[in-house]
Amino acid sequence: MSNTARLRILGIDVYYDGYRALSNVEFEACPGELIALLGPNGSGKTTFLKTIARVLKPRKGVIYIDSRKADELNDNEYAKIIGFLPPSDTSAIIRVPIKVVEVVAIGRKPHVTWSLTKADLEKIWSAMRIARVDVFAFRDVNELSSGERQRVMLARVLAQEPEVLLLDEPVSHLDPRYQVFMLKLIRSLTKDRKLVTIASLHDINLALRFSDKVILMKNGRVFAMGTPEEVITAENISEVYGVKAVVIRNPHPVVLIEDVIEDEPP
Amino acid sequence: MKSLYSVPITIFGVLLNMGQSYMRIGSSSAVLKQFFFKRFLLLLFLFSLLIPVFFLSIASGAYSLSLGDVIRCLLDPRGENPSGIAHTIVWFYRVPRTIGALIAGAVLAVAGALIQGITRNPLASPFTLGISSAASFGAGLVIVLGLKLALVSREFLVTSSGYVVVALTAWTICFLHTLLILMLVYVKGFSPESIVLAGIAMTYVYSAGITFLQYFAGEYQLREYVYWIMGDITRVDWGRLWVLVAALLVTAVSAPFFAWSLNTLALGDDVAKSLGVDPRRVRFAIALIASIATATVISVTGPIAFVCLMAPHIARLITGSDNRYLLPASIAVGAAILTLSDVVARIALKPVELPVGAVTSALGAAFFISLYMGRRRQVVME
Repeated sequence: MSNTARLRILGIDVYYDGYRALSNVEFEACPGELIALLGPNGSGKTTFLKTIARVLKPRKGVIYIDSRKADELNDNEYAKIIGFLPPSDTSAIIRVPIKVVEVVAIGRKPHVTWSLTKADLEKIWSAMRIARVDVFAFRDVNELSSGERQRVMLARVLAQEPEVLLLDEPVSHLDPRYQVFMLKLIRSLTKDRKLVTIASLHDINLALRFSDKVILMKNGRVFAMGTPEEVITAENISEVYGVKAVVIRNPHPVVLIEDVIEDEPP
Repeated sequence: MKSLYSVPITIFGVLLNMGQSYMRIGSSSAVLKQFFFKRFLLLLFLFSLLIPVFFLSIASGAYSLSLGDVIRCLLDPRGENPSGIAHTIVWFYRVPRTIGALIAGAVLAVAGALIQGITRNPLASPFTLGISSAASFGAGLVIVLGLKLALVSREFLVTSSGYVVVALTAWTICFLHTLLILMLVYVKGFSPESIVLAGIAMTYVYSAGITFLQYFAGEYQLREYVYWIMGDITRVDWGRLWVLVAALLVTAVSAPFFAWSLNTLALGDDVAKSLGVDPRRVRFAIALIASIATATVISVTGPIAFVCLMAPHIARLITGSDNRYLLPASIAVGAAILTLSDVVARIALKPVELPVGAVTSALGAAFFISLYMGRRRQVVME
C-alpha cells in the first residue's frame, strides 16, 4: 500500500501561537481516492487541509508526495501538484471587478511565466465547462450567486491541474441540487484523473454516500479512519459530535441526528 | 485638428464592438483567445492615445501654438531655422514639462495599481501609505524649519541647489518612512489591513508635524510651503527629468514580474500561498518599490493628488483586473490624465497657471462622486 500512496503524512503537529491545533496526524492516500474529512467545528479539519496545501507550516512531521519529501519541492513545483479550495464564504474576499475567466486563469499561475498559451487557454476553457461556469465566463464574479461563485472557484482549482485536490467545505453554501452535483463531479474527476481528493464536509450523509474513506477528527487528532461504514457509527458520531445519533440501513446507511447530549458542552 | 481626435474614438468603438461579437461565436478556447487579444488591443490603443496627448500638451498654454508650429519646432531641436520664441517655448518649457507629466503620471498610476493589488483595496494608494504626508513633512523641514533656524537662506532656497535640498530631504523622509512602515507591518504579519492601518496612523503623525510647521511658519515660508504641497509639474526641467526617468524604469521593469503574483493575491492569501506565492514577500517588495518610486516623483513635483487612485480605476474599467494588462494600462492612463490635467492647468485661467495638483484634486473628486453615484450600474465595460 505505502508504495502506491500518492500522499503520505507522518506525525504532523501544527501550532497556532503555542496552541496545538493538530497533533500527531498520520495518514496516506492512493490515487483515485475521495476522502471525506469529518469532525465538529474547531476539530482541525481546515488546519489539516491548509497544512497539506502549505498554507500553514507544521512544527513537526513530514509530508510525502509519491515517496518524495514535500520539503524537496519548491513552492511552484508544489503548487503544480497540490490544489486548495478554501470555503466559499472566503470568496467574498474579492473586492475588485473581475471576470469569471480571469479568476479561472489565475489557476494557471504555477504553469506559466507570462502569457497564456493555446494549451493554457484550452485547459481554462475545459475547467470552466466541467464546473459549468462557461455560460457566464465573461460575467463579473461579484454579480454571481454564492453557489455559482463556488463553482468558479472549483474551476480555478481545476485549471491548476493538481494531482491532489484539497477542498475545504466545498458544498457548505450550496443548495441540495448543487451539493450533489458538486460531489458527483468531484468524485468522477477523482476517479477519471486518478486524483487524491480530500474534502472536509459537515454533512455526514453526503460523506457516507460519496467518499471512499472517512477521517473523523476530534480536538486536532484523528479519532477514527477507514471506510465510511466502519467510521460512521452511532457510537463514533455521539462521541465526536456530542449528539444522539442512529444509523438507519435502508439499504444504504443514513445517519439521523436526534438530539444533543446535554451533559456535554455543545 | 478635429479629425485627429475622431480617429482614436472610432477605433475605440470598433474594439468595443469586437468585444460584443465573441459572445455569439460559440464555446471554445478561441473565444478566450479573442478575449485576451482584445485586452491587448485596448492596451495598444491606450498607449497610442498618448501621441495626440503629447502634441496637445506641447501646443497648449498661455502662448498657444498650431500643430504645424509644434511639429516644425520638434523636428528642429537645434533651432537652426529662425522660429524664434516658439522654439524656446517648445524646447525649454513644454517638452520637458510634457515628458515630465507623462512620466510622473505613469509612475504614480502604476504605483497606485501595485498598492491596490497588495492591499486588495481599490481605494488604497501610495498616498494611503503616508508617502505624500512624509514628503510634505520633509519639504517643510527645509522650507520652514530650515529658514527659521537660518540653516538655509531665502536666496539659496530659490536656486536650483536649494530645490535639490528640499527634494532630497523630502525623499529621505519618505525613505525612512517606508522603512518604518515596513517594520510596523512586518510585526503585524503583512496583512493587507495592517499596511493600510500603518499608513493611516503615520499620516496622522505627519499631519500633526505639518500643522506645527505651518503654524510657526512666517508669511513667506507659509506661501512657499503651501505652494510646494500643492504639487506642480512646472518644477520639472531637463535635468530633473532624469530623476523621473529613473523612477519610471524601476517600476516599469519590476512591475511585470509581480503581475501573476498580484493576480493570485486577489483571491486571498490562502489561495495565493497554495499557488506557490509568498504573500508576505510580494507585499514587502511591492510596498518598497511603489513607495520609493512615488517618493522619487513627488520629491520633484510635490504631492500630486488622486492620479495614483484614479488612473488604476479607469484602467481597470478598460482592461479588467488581470494585472498583466492592468499595470501597463495604468501607466498609459496615468500619463494621459496627468498630462491633460496639466494642459487644463495651463489654459483654464489663461494667462494664469494653476498648480496641476489643484486640477487633479478637482478631477479626482468629480470622478469619485460619479463612481459612487453609478455604483449599482455595470462597473466593467463589456
